[in-house]
Amino acid sequence: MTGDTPAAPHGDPAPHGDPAPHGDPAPLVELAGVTKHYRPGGMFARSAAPVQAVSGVDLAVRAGTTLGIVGESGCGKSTLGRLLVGLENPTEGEVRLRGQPLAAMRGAERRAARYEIQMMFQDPYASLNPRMHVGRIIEEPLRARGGSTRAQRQARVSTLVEEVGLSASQLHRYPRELSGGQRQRVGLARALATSPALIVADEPVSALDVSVRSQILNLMAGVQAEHQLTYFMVSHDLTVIHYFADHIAVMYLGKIVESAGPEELFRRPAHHYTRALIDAVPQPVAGQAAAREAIRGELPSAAAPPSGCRFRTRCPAAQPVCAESEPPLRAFGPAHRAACHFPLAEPEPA
Amino acid sequence: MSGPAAGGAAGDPVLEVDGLSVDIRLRRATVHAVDGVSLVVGRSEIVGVVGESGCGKSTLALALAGLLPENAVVRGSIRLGGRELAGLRERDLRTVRGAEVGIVFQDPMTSLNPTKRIGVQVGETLRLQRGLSRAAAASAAAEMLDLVGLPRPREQLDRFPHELSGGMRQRAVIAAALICEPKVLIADEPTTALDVTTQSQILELFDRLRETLGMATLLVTHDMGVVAGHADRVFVMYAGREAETGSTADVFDTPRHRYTAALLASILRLDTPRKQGLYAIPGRPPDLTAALPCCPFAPRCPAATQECTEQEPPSAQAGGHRWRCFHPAGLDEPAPETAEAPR
Amino acid sequence: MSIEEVAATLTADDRAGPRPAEGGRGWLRRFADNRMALAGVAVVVLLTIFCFLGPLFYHTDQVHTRIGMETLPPGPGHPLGTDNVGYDQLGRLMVGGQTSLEVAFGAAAVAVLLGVFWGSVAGYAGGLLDGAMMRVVDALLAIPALFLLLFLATVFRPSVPMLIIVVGLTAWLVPARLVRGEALSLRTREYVQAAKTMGVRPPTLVMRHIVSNSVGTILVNSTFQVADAILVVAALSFLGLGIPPPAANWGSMLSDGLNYTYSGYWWLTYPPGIAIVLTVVAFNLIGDGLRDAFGLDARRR
Repeated sequence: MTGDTPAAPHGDPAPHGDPAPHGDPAPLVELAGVTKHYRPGGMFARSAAPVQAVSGVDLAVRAGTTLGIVGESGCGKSTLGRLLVGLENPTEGEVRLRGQPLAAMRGAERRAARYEIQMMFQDPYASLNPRMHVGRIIEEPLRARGGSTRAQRQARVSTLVEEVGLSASQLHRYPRELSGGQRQRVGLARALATSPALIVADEPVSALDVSVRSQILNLMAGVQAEHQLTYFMVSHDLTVIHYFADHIAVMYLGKIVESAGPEELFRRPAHHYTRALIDAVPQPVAGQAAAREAIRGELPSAAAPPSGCRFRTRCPAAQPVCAESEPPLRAFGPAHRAACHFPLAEPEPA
Repeated sequence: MSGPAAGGAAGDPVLEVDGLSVDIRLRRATVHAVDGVSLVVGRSEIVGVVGESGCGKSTLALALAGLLPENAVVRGSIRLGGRELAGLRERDLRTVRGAEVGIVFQDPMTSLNPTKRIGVQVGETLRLQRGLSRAAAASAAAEMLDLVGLPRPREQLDRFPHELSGGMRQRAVIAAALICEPKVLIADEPTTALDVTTQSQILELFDRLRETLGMATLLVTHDMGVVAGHADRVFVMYAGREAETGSTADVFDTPRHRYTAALLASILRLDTPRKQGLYAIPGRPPDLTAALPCCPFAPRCPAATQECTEQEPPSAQAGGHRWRCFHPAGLDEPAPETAEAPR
Repeated sequence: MSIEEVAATLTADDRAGPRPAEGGRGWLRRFADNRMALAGVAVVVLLTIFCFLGPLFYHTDQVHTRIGMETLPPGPGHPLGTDNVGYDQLGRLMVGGQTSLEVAFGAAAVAVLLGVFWGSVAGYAGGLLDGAMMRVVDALLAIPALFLLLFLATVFRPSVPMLIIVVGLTAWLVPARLVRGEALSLRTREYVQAAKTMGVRPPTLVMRHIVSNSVGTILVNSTFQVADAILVVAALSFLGLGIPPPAANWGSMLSDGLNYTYSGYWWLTYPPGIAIVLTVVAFNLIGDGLRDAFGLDARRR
């Protein structure tokens, strides 16, 4: 894949990412060995163990596709989104846009790069400033970027508002006057304002009613097709990720445990955590609760992750070797990677 | 699903709600949060109340728990074990709550007092209702924590809520709700704030309580999947009213009310065809301050006709399956086997 | 509502109009429903009219003393009598009120502006800058305000602008703390995070997103600042450090009047005293009313 990506442990195949069978093989955005550790405490705190939010993540996203990150609370997926968008800086590793590391960019180049990656937030009730009306909210990124007249900005805002399925009469409304779905549309319009190449969608529909989710997902798909947009979608909801993502990465306690295309991931999950996640999804078909083995145990603390394989404390197939060494990343198919000592599926020969 | 239930046979009605209406009086308007709801929860039965935000299901749960705010006006009947609860004074309600009605709320972090130990909180109602000594209550609390699947229960007694994970906290809340052996357990979105893997553990716990204790449970949720997997009967609410009710199999396999059908068609499942466009119910739920003498779903309904906007639909039923719709799905078409879901 | 109107509110897609929600003026309505708060507003309005418009209708000479007319009890020509140098008391009450109110509002404005700036910058910045800025606040809070005021008042020649600055400089610490608290909590809100991702520069971010959403707290505190300032000015004047005569303010009137307590000249002490108390209570009522109207005591989003 990308030649300058550091090899995964044990000198192994390419990192998690969707290999392009045709077209432009270079990924739009890459995360290479990205690690984010938080040091707790204020100025005078003794050195407590750092919270390892993200550890050694390698990911690649191709333009025009959706990469879905799925995992439960504390797995670090939201931190990944924040790293991409520049709200956080990685402790180690690099975030690259079109091959260029973001950290190496300065000044105007860095600002321009920032407007290429924008974010759509989770909570429709908290992601819009209650004291600004819709028009100003959508206009804000354009004003911050500068280089446009008021008239140009107004025109762009009008276009955006139509595009996300709102009407011009709502430009003067305040967020409290809008429903959750409408607010999420505003959030999307705002993210689209600077014509970004990639939008990080952090739980875009989790806070919405079930019947509204379809509306917003349809909208997001339409916008993606229209603008050749790339999504980095983060969610705890496997059904949303399965529906929307072209490639999926499963995270647990800061590490990616498996990645594959959606059909492959569900047909042949290799990692036990993936299996557990799939089994735990409540299906709206009567009487199916019986057959699954619910996952046991509790999530370990991110400040003290288990040695070796981080999932071993809850894994039904754990063996002593799982505590001794981190499992190597192996290929299970052309775009299927997983890190497990005793995977559920057969790995491809090296 | 009927386990050996002491003190009654499975299916015996425990909680009977008849024509319940709750109006919330605000300064400038009245919200008709619940309108004419009738349902029954029996022993060893989990009844799922499902609907989206604003449908009134949480208000219903609060009404049954006797926890409505002061500006709420309740009409109708709530009978628990034959005894009428609606209209009871606060003093009497307090003895009912905890002793006969167990309540589990959504967020365990706010249902537990962060400054009190778990053992104390779980045993609290026992001491209040039955005057047990501290030691006896602690012992009973440990037993209950064990029953709900908390590992090393004796150790947990001395812990504070923030020392437990979300799933363990919710188990503690359930233990506190069950400790006085209530007749009915009311759970309002008990797993919404939890991870999906923890959610399935808690739902399994509800199943187990149904089997071993013969627990009658009212499970309020917005998640159709939860209801499908764990509820025996389903009650679908829309705009404060009953839309449809019946056994889980009936409602999910052959939904009659157009809202139920539309909801089932729009939710994402693992077998939803990828990226093909999703069915989306247009519009949004109604504002409950207007009393609507018509079908509240009509403006969003693909099958609505003039009469749907003029009169309230009558209640129709087939066996234990009941719905209120002028044009129920799958019935006025020539092929009755397939429930028609709008696509 | 007719069925058609109701159906209209139910319909359509997200292009439909606003759903009925409590408007941003909800706090005003709640405030207006609070009778005590309205009484406070009424008192403040009346007092302001009394002090600023009163002299236009009731002319008295507040500059030349009138020996021979001193300490006359209330009677014809002098509804509230005269004071110890012959000034008409009622007129003096009005003129003194002007000074007291001016200094109070001015000092409150200085305190709030400085406090909001300091607190919002500290709270938003966090880390070392926050620590340093708040240590300054803590240090200043440790100094008893009265002594600081006494010192400042002896160093600088008293005048209305000087009093405003001096009182304001001791009062800005509380709003600074309050606004810092707001800033700390607001900066984790998603809309602030969103603004950061858009590259909004920190000064704009602080003003547009943090300060504008702290308006409730700031407004409530402002009213209490005015009340406090009146008392402080009165105290300063009482100690003789206010503006020298012939300028008047309620505090100095009170202090002068106290020399005659045992002589039974009640009209020298009660009117200014009551005026001070009324004003302070009125502003406190307004502040309480605002706090309730904004729902600031209860947990809020």
